[in-house]
Amino acid sequence: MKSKRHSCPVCDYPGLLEPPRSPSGGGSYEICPSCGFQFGVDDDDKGITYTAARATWIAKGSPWTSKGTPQPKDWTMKKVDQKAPKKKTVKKTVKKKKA
Amino acid sequence: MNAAFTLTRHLRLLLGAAILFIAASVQAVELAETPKVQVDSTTATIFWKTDVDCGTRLNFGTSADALKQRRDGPVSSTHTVTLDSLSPGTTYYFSVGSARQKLATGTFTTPRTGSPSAAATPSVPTKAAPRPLPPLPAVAPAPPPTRQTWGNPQSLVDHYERHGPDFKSTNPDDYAAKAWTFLQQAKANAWPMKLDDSDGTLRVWNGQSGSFAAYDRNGKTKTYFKPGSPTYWQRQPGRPIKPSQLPFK
Repeated sequence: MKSKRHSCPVCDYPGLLEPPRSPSGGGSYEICPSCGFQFGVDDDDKGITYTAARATWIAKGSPWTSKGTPQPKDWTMKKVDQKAPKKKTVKKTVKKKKA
Repeated sequence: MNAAFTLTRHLRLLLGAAILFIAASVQAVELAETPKVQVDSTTATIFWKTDVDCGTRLNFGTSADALKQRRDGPVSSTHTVTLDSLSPGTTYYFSVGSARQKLATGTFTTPRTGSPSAAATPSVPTKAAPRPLPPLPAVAPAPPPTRQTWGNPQSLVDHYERHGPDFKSTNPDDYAAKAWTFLQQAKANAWPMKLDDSDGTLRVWNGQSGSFAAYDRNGKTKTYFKPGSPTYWQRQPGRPIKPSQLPFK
């Protein structure tokens, strides 16, 4: 039986083993194997927002970052881009800055 | 009008000073257990207890009137300081306390290589009857295999690549072993711990080294690193917990 998986709020990868945040608000400390964001560290310690982390990851070409967890065959950069609602937010932000 | 205002202001200042003085008097730290020393030819571990939480400071040297070297530790009521690179066959003098207050002094002599351990001689009597501390193991136990100590084996290499340099780890297994050892030291020395009842995560902190680790409800490591933010530990959720109350061994 497969345990319940959770989505990454940065890149939408649906295979996180734990919720990124516990009910108390604490980070899971899990490193997303897709985008490499570590919950409770990149945000709580380094102050990086999900939006900023996503923009950075996309700018790098949306690479699979984990060296220990293999990339699922059905998880590709193209798929990320297709289902990336937050990417629009990033684009809007960029346009506003230009204006 | 101005005179009345000035008088009121002075009265407020006097009242504030009195409150500060009373608060400082109430919080005066006292020794609850005299310093104990376990010593071999090149290292010494000094333990003492205070009646309330306070900072940890130990000054030491080879002359009673020149305690030039200093070690600081975290705020706690149970204090442990380990000195290494000592010279065999040498008498050392030390004082213990906090940054604000010296609580006791003592001496110990490192045995010459091959001779039995020397005893410490604390020189300040204390109000509390000393209770024996559990003896330290002569040799630290070897960490179990990584598969028994790390929560998600697939994630280990990623944690190692990111945080291994914080501890000069040489490979993922070394990093996992250090994370396991950190928990054992935290239990032995009563370092600050918080248990998150919402998901069973145990968070552990050592202020002296600035190291943080998190473990799952079975005691397996989730991560181990040195946060950059000075308020990181204070912002972590969970209720304080003592080693004896942990849900795992």
